[in-house]
Amino acid sequence: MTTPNQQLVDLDWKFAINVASSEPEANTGAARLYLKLTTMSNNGTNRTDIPLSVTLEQFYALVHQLEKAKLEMDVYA
Amino acid sequence: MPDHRSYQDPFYGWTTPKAISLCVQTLKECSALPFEVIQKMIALSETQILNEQTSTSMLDILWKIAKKYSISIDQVMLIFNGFVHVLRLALKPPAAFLKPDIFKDDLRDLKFSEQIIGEFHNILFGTKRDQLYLAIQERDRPRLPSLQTFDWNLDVTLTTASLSRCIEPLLLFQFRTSDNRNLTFEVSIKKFNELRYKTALILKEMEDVDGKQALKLLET
Repeated sequence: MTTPNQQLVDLDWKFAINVASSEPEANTGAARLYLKLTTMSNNGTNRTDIPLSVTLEQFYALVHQLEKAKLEMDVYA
Repeated sequence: MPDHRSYQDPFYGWTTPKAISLCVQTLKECSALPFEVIQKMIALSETQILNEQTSTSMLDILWKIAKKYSISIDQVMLIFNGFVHVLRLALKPPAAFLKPDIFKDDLRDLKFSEQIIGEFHNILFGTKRDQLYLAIQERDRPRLPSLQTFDWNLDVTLTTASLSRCIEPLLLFQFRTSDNRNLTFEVSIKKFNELRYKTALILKEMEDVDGKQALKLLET
C-alpha cells in the first residue's frame, strides 16, 4: 500500500463551516476539513502536495483507521 | 426585376468546384440509379453534416448501395461527396443571403436534375435548417475547450493547524471544462471583488459593441 519512494513529511489542516454554496442541496452548516499532505521522495528532491477535502464523517473514518494502526504499532513497538 | 446573377455570386463560387462536376458526371453515368436511392444519399449527406451517425456506419450504408445497384463504390463515393459539398457550400453564406429561388437557379446552372434540386431545397429550407446552420457555426471551426459547469463553495475557516480562532471566509471555485478537466482553486476576497468588477466591465463592453452600427449584419 505504501509507495516505497514517497514519505509523508507534513500534514496541514484547516477546519471550516459551509456558509453558502452553488449546489442545489443546501448543506449550509456542514463542517468540512481541508487537509494538505506533503510528501517528499526518498532522495529529497520531489516535494508533492496532495490537497484533500473531507466531510466530518469521512474524517472520523480516517481518524478511526489511524487509531487502529496506532494501536497495532504500540503492540509491536 | 434584374436577374440575381447580376448582383449576387452563385453560392458555389465563381467556377464549378471539381467535386460537384464529378458528381454530376457520375450521376449521368449511373443513370440507372432509381431516384429513391439518390434521395437517400442526399438525406445521408445531411446527417453527415449534422454528425449524427458514425463514419463507419455511413460507409456501410454506401457499400450496401453500391452492391445492391451494382455500381462501383468509387462512383457512390463521388456522388455522395458531391452532395455533401453542395450542402456545405450552400451553408457558407449567411442564412438570410441565400434565398430559395436563387439557390434553385444556381443548382440548375450546376446541371442537377429538377428532382435533385427539389430534394436539396427541402433539406436546406426544411425542418433541420437551424440545426444545420448551428452545426456549421458552432462545431466546424477551431475552438478552445469551453466552460461546462462552474460551482462555488463559501466556507468560514474556524481553526487551522497553526492558528486557532481565526474566523476567515474561504471561497472555492470549481471549473469543469469541456475537455474533462476539473480545476479547483481558492479565491481571495480581494481577487473575487476584482473578478466582479471585470465581469461588469465585460458586460458593459459587450453592450457597447452591440450598439455599433458597423457590426450589424447586412440585410438583403
